[in-house]
Formats: sequence, structure tokens, C-alpha cells
Amino acid sequence: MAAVGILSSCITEDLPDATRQGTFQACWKALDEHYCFFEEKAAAYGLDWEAVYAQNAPAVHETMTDRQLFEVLAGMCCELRDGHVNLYAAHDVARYGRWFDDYPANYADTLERIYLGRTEDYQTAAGLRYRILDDNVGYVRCATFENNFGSGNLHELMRALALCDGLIIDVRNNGGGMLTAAQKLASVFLDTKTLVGYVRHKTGRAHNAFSAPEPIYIEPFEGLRWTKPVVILTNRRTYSAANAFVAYLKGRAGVTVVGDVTGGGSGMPLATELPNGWTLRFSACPMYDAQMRLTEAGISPDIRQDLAPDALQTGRDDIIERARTLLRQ
Amino acid sequence: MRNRLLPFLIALAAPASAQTSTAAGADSLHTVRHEQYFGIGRTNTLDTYLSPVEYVGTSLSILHRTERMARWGKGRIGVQATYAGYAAMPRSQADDDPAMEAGLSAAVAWLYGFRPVGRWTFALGGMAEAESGFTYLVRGGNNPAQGRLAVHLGMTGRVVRPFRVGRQQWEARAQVDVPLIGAMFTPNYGQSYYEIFSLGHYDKNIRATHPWNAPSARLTATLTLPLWGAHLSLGYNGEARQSHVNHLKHHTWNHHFIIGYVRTLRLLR
Repeated sequence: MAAVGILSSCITEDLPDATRQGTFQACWKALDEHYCFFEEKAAAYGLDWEAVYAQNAPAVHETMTDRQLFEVLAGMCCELRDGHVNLYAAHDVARYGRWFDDYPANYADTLERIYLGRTEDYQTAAGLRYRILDDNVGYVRCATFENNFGSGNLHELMRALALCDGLIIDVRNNGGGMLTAAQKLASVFLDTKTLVGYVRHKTGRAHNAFSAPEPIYIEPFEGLRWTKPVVILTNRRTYSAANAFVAYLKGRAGVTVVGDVTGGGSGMPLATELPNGWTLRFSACPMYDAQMRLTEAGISPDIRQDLAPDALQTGRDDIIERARTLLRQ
Repeated sequence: MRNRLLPFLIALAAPASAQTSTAAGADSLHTVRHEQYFGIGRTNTLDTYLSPVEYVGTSLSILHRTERMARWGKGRIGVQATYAGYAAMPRSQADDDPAMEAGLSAAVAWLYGFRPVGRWTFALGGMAEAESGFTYLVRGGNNPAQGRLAVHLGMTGRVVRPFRVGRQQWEARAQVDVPLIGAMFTPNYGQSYYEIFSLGHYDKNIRATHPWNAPSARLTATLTLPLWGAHLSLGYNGEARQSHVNHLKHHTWNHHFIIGYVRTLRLLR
């Protein structure tokens, strides 16, 4: 009897077939139920997700190719104007390019090579490349938070830069990675256990079903504090966990942010799957700074600075130079 | 002195019969029944925290049961321990990267053996079970895997029917285990594991379970027959582990053909 009862209580998910129409429905529904910034986007530029469905559904038919379907779904995803919303197919990854492309690059690896020097001129620890510039300013290039930093790595790095007058942390073009890595690097610059932000998550399918904001604290790095001035360099491609790193430290004593507005990406992304096998990534958990401000649209620098148009010809990175000037004052 | 008289085991390839579960509680003779099975079959798994798509594939399992009479209960209460595990690499309909799925459970049950009705023997009792497992999808970023941890109290029932085939003693046996109440770990609907474990944010991550939100059961049906001096046992093990909590749906349906052996040990004191 019990088995009969169980068999009549199968828990299943009502998922559309792997047809063109089914895949479209599944994509729209997954975002409708899980995406976390509908209300903010509606307020910012009038996003109407039901209208997006009505606008795109007629374009889907069973005779279209995979690439044509991808184009429709990618267009629908781009309506969210979110760098964390991506559709992964075998042939391409859909992404909202204007998020970055409408801003100046403000970074060039050619310039980075000039400042870091040849391979033997700089050191590297856990993916962080660093050297002391000739005005006794420490320069740390942090290109990603994809890997966690070992405590030993950070100890050695800070020991090598301990005698510098100030420090530059360059997180331009840092597309993010692990929040725990960002928190660990930030912990070097905090003196006490510090409230650095808030996070919440969806608790149901409704667009406004969220948990209460929970605080995010960072404990100071064990046995090490950087108490001298720090300048963080940012551009529009300072994104996701790198954006969080900036949010953790902006406004703290001795910290100045120089460069361009960051890319935001303050919704921690989760991923799901469509019936045809494509992967859909989306912002799922909104994160806020310590003042409960959403940083999804980016964080403005304390000092706005662009690269000069002829930076590649002159070999001068005006954002680094602005930071050096600040640290010398 | 007493220690010298403490159990010594005589392993007997004795027929596994209903008597072992009900009448072996004599003062000095205790019977311990061991069942060991290996299974192969099909797993169907769904976890909407990771994907709304069902993953299906071949799986392997192992099931071990030990039963003896309780020291109390006047020879009518059997104590049964069950350990089970399975592993699978099921695929979705799109046949992209497979998932990895595995589970372990351990249960103890106390079964009251009713007086035989003809050659039928029935037993009914309660059980306590702990269960764990995981599903891993390579495609996930911040939600690549889902862990499962649960404890249950439930009911278990068993029917045994020995019969003769020629000069041989065979035994048919079926058992159903049904969790009734318990608690399980689960993230909330859109909550990341980073938030739970790195930040320590609790949000309904331990939920009560009951047949309405976690209808689950295991059915084991076996036929045991003597073969070359041993006791071969083969049959079916079906397991449905399901939950629908925090708006997240999960199911693992295992259907396995099992084969193994039964061994009865008599403990003399």
C-alpha cells in the first residue's frame, strides 16, 4: 500500500520538450522564476518581462535552425542588460556586450607590460604579479579572482612590498571569480572585523520573493595589516567578484578608487539547463554594499581617470600615473 | 569465565527461512542473518536546484542487511540494520556532459514478528534512517552540485514465504521501508552554497519532512534458493527518494536487479 502511495506521489518537473518552442518557453520561464533584478531593471529602464515574451515568442518556429533559435534567445537575454546573463551553446556564448563596449577600455596589456617589465622584473604569487615601481610605490596586478590566494602567498607578497610608501591594486579587466578570494585579498586592508555588504537570495518564483538581507563580514588577515595608502584601479571590466572587492574597500580609511566606473555584476550567478542542452546563466543573489546600496550598475571611482587616446604611443598609463601621484602626495 | 562463553560463531549454510526472524530467540540460540546484494539497474534523477532536466542512466548499487533477535521482546522482535549505496553517471535527454550521482543510507529497524499465517510470516515495525548523497553537474558555476543529508523515522513491513521446489527449500521475501517523519538539509530556493557555508547564513536549510513533501520508499523483493552449498538470493530493489521543499524538487528513482547471498550465523551462548 505504501508503495502504491509513493507511486502516486511522484515528484517531477513540468519541463517543455526539447523543441524550438519548448526551449524558448523553458528559457523565458527559468529567467522569470530565478532572475533577481526584475524590479531594479523595470525601475531603471522600464523592463517588462511579459512584454519581452510577447515580443519574442512569435519569432520561434520549429523549422528554424539552432543558430536562429540561439539568436532569438540571446536577444531575449540581452533585454535584461546584465553581464551575468549568458546563454551557452556549442557554437557561441550569448552576452550583453554593450555593458562593456559602451565604455572606454581604459586598460591595455601593452602598457601593463611596460609597467611590470620583463618576466625577470616582477614576481608572481598565486596569480598576483607585483613589483616595486621606481618611486617606491608597490604595484600589484590582480587580473582574476578565479583562484583562491594562499595565506603564505599574501604574506610573502606583502613582505616584499612592506617598505613601499603606498600600494596600487590594479583590478582593471578583472572579470571576477570567487568571492572568497576577493574577501581574502580585501582582508589585508582591514583592521577589524568589518561589515562590508549584504546579500540576499530568492525564496520563491515571484519577482519580489527575497530573503531578508544578511550581512557579510570580513575578518582581518591573520598577522598582517596594510595601513599605508592604497589606490585601487578600476575600469568597466572590473566585474563581479572584482566589483565586490571594490565595494568592500571603497570609502575605507586610506583607500582611494581611481579609474572608470566598474562593471557591477552584483548578482551572484547561478546556472540552469534548457531542454536542448544549452546552459543558461543568470544573476540570482543580489549583493549590496555596506550602506545597502545595490552595485549592479557599477561603482563610481573616487577619482575619474581615463587613459589618454595616445597612451599606446606614449607608453604612459594615465590611470597608474594618477595613482602614483596620489600616493606620493 | 563468562567471557570465555561469549559468542562463538558457527557459520552455517543453513536455509534462510522465516524461522530465523521469529523463532530463533531461544534462550541459548541466537541467529544472525546476513544478506549481501550487488545491484545493477537504472537511475532517474532530478534536482531543480541544478537543472529542471531529468538525468537517466545505468547505476550500480550495494545493499547489506543484518538481522538478529532483540534481547528483549520474547523472541518476537527482530533488530535489522540496513546499509545501502548507489552510484550513477546519468545523462540528460540532450546527452551532453553526464551528471555524477551517489547516495548512502544506513537504517536500523525493529520488527515485530506476527504468528505465522499458514506458511506466511509477517513482520511490522519502525525504523530510523540516515541518508546522504550528492548530484554533481559539470555545467554549473556557483551551483554545480547539490548535497543531500536527511534523517527519518518510518515504518517497515516484511512478508516471508518459504516453499519447496523439489527437495529444496526456497524462500520468497519482500520488504517495504517507508520514511514518515524526519528532517533534511536543503538550500533555499535561490540560495547559494557560498551563502550557507562561507557566510553562515541560515534560511530554512533544515526542513521537516513527511509523506506530503518527501514521499519516499524502498521495496526489496528477493528469492533465495540453495545453490552449490550456499544460498543464492536474487530479486529487485526499488527506491524512490523524493522531496519538494523550499520550492525545490528532487527525486532519485532507482530500479535495480540485485543478486547476492544470504548467510545465517548461529550464535551459541
